[in-house]
Amino acid sequence: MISRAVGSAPSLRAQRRRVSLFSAAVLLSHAALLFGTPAARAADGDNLADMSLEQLMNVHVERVYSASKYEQRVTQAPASVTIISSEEIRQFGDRTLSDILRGVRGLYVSNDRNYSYLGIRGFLRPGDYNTRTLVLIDGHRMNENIYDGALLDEENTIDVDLIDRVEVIRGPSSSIYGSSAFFGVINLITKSGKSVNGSEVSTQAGDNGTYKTRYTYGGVIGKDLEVLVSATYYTSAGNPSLYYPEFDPRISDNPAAANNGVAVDSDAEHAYHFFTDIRYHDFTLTAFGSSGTKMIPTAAFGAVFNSRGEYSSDQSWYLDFKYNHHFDDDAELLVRAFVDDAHYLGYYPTNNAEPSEAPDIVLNRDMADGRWAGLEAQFTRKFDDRHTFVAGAEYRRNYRQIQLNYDDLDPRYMYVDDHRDGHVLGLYLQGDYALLSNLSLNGGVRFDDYFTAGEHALSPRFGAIYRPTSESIVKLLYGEAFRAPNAYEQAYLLNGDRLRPEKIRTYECVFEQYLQPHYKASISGYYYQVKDLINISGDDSAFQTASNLGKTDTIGVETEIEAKYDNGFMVRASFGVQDSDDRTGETTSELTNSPRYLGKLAVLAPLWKKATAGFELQYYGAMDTVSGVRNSDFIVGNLTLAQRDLLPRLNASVSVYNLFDADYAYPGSSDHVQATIPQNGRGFRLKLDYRF
Amino acid sequence: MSLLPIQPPVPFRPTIWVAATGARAWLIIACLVVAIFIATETRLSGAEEPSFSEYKVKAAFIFNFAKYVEWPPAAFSNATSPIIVGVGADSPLYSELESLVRERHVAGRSLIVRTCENSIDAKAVHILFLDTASEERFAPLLHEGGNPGILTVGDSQNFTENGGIIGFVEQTSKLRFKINLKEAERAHLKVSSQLLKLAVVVERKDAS
Repeated sequence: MISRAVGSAPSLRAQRRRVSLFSAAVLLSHAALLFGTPAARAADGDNLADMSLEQLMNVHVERVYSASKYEQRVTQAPASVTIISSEEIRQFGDRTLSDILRGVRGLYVSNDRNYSYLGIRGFLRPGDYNTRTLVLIDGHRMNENIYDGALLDEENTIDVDLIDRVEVIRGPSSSIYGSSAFFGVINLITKSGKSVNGSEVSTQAGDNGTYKTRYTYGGVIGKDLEVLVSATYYTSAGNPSLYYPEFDPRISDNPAAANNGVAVDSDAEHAYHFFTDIRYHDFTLTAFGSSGTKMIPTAAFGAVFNSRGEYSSDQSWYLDFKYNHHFDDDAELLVRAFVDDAHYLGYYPTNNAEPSEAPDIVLNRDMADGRWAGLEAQFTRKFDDRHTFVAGAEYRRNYRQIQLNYDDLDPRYMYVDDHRDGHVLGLYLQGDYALLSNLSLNGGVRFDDYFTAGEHALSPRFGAIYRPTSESIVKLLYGEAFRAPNAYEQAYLLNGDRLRPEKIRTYECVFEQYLQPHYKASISGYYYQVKDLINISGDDSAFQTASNLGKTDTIGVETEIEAKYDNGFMVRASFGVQDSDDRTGETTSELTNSPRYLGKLAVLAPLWKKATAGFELQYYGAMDTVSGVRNSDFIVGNLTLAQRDLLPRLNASVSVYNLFDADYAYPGSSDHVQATIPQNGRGFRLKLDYRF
Repeated sequence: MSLLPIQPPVPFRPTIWVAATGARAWLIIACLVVAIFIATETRLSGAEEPSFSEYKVKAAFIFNFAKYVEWPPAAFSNATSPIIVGVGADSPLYSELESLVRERHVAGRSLIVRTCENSIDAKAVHILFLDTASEERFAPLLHEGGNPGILTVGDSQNFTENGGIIGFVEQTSKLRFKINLKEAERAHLKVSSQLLKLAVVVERKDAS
């Protein structure tokens, strides 16, 4: 057994701490100077009254697309919705999609120094790759076809600078999106070439030798051709020394313990991505490509500790061709054709010798290779300006679903050699009917057929949206969703049973109150029931089995208050309480990776001419981990000072992450020896964006 | 333990960056930031496209319409009497307009926002905003048409076809407007050519 000692290697950490405290003092003393500026001026941009008609005609009206697959008012969407704008991303210094989602009510993101994992409303299965949340880029599905997962890190999403807004739809949306839209949908809507209007170079530097550079061109060529091209390079040396007591031979009897428990220079990462979007009248062509590699310092999956040879590498690309035609103001046709490719390769140096023998280190390679293509058509019709009907069909063909796991010997020693393919057909219908001027009903249903798995699923959703007064909204929502077993789970199913899709049933009541002109409050209560949850069990990754045994119940309440003033000052606070029970076995226990309390605070203060200070606090309550150890609660604070037009056409920002240098950790999974994975202390980033 | 025979595919820590980490890098960057924040001379620019709540934007549009429409002299008791904007009693636009027009003037006139319960209230205003819900209630007023001195603004799809003067339409999450010039003339309102130029549709005569 491993004796777990909480603490850290004293000398290294203490030294790091002194360095960061010193520099923080430098930064804070300057921050104090900034805050000292008298009488913060009203933030520009918020003064709509001073805009000309031409300017007003360029203002975006807040809308949400992802909830119903057509643009609608946030208050009319049959879901609990949060929208994060590009301005907020800039003002709060979010570096990745994970950073953006960490600030959202009811969401939490953990990280094991390999990937980030998104939890929604108390649900985050240890060791899965975000298979129960659908991630879209401009409506294009990003979940791949092996793990059905979507990655949120630098390696596999677009540069956050290209995001115009992020729509977060809580609750199941299988009724329009099919599988994976189990706990929610996250749609990244990208900036158009026209709005970039020129070239942009962005460069940033952060702690732990982190650098990122981006070049973007956007504009209209000729009269009608709108183009956006962007490329990003990212590199990070990572935390130079990470101490894991579980691998410290002085205090642990773990046979893999080495190097006094310190993983040296094993946290590096690099990534590059490319994104282009070309629009001509009703046609849009999008191309995306990304490649990233992350070293794994945790010796996950039973790898050799401090080998500096354990890493995961992910590549993916897609082409998406879209035709979107408005026949008149009332009817719209969307046709989409796409081809996607995702490739993962993991390198795991493993000691195959018994503890008593001399080390016999073999490289275990884990590989997943997927390619798929599809067609989608959707017709939206509005009647009488009040009722909306949507009908759609989606066909997806999985050409390639390959999983290999082998020891790199001659000949290869194969553990997993799984090749499959398949196709999916989905048909959906949705209606939004305004029964009274202040009461609308929403209903939708989608039928999915998984030919190869021999499975089909029917996912309905109903909502009633009532406005008792002009400033209050009540939403009553019911939804069912499913998640088909992914190729990974099917490949590891060794006991011969057929896996069924997981099912979720949700009930939610949302109340929103606008206290004009400055305040907005919302409270939401929900009850989620999941059954046939696919559990992967077994200690050795090569001999895991999957079964439909899991069953969970979640009940929770979320509240949020937001105040926005005309001078640009904004405060948003949210608090969520939830209780998730794992009813898989005979006894009921608290679900792992499920913090009972989640608190978020965001304050945006205008400082002077176009300068803002964005301050965030995120509280994660204590949660149980798979190892049985309880991860203690923590608060992380971030501060960003952002200046627009510092010099003509130059935007700048400086951010301090984990401002209070909190010692915190995220839960590990059964792939880790560590019960919890400690995170970085205080860090910083400087970012400059130049337009020309 | 022997080191592994494999290497990461890229050089992860180029020496120059290693030298730059630690206290020195922090100091350099801290100094840079200070220099940047002190040497600031800012300038306005409008490349960004912020997004606002629908009613905030509509309120700003309505305020602008007031600038481009000329009322008949009989609509006001004197040269400084206020422009009265009427809004359906339960419209969220009320509070947005209220806070927007406060202490603002159009051609020397202040603006006052009032709620309208019925057509008697409605006939006492200069600008009448009708959302989809209240349009039904005021449908007779629109059908009669030719309400002297009342600029009707609405957001239903067929507002201008149903006898309204300016109707909001939405195109790709941006607001546009249609103008029914015939109704404007019947109401004795002069609409400036600038406003007509920006409108997506101008109805000049009866559709036959």
